Amino acid sequence: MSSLSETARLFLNSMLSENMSLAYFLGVLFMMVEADSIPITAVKGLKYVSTIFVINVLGWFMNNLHSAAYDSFNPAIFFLTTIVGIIILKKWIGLEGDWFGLPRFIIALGPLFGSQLLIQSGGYNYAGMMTVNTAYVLGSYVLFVLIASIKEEIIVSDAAPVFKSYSTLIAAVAMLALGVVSFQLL
Amino acid sequence: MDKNLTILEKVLLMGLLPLLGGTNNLKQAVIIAVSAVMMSLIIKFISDHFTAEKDFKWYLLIGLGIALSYIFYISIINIFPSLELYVNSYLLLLGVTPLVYVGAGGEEENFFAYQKDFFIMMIFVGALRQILGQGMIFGIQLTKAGYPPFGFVEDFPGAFLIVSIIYLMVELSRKDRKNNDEQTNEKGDEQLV
Repeated sequence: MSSLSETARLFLNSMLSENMSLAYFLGVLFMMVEADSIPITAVKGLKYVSTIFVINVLGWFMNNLHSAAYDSFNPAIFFLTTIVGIIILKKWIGLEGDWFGLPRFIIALGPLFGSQLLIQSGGYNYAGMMTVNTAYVLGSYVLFVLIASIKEEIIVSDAAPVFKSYSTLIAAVAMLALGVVSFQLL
Repeated sequence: MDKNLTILEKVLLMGLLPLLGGTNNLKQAVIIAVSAVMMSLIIKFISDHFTAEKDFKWYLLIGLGIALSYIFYISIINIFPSLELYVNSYLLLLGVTPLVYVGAGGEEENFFAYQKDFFIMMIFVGALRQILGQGMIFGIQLTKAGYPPFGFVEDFPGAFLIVSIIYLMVELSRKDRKNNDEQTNEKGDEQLV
């Protein structure tokens, strides 16, 4: 059984320096594309992270239903739970329409599938999974709202049009990532 | 931000996950780039010979993409055990990368342009991160061992920074940039009037 300090460290690491969105890049594309005004993103973000949370719990339970001998079925399990997540997101946040000729929901595949893969590779027990999962979604939610505010600021700024692109947004995320790494050093 | 993007800019967005995560070094970037191109070709071939209801078709293609990424992962490790060091989980995540499904979407006519640009970008980012992060390329140490010029480039903040700089370079090198800027300024003037 892990001590409280170990759990706290796991929580902090999973929220900051080992967060699924910052350290593993899962969902950064979704956030950059779907970020809107801050109030809209705050609501959309809640729906997005709660879907990820539920799908991660579902994936973990289904993964633990079978013995380790059947671990080769994990991709199929995570695929099915990802599709459930996609259906929820399509209904809940209106992830309909096209994005560069592809269905718009395709940008949500990465965070849904990848976060389950991350949790599985960590080999956590129930308490560990809930800690990591909660930290992942909290960190991702804050990042989503931050990306929305930066995107809004970029669009309304007086900068040259060349800087009003995703390059500035990715650079801003890089600065946030540097801040998180420095927090880890402390 | 999504409007009037070139193929290269779309590639940088659609392939953002492998570009950030699968480019720690050149060998890793090459493995992931080759796997992604081969997967794209297989998915395009199957998509061309397969008709189904739109959503159902996409779910099946995504299932196929995920299965292919696992097949590639296991095959590379078993056929080339010496490359295991350079294979990471971003190879498994190719199945959830939008760029892999370009051939099945609405931009089929530019399919090969997307694959070419993605391959070049992966190699470029991989080489740049290895030179700056490790101070070496093709096994040749360019700086004093243990003293890379920008060690942080190997880590995730560096990945974001390198991709953002490349994206900015792509933006600056656009041939139609001047026209776009003029159009934007004209629209702004009209709105002010």
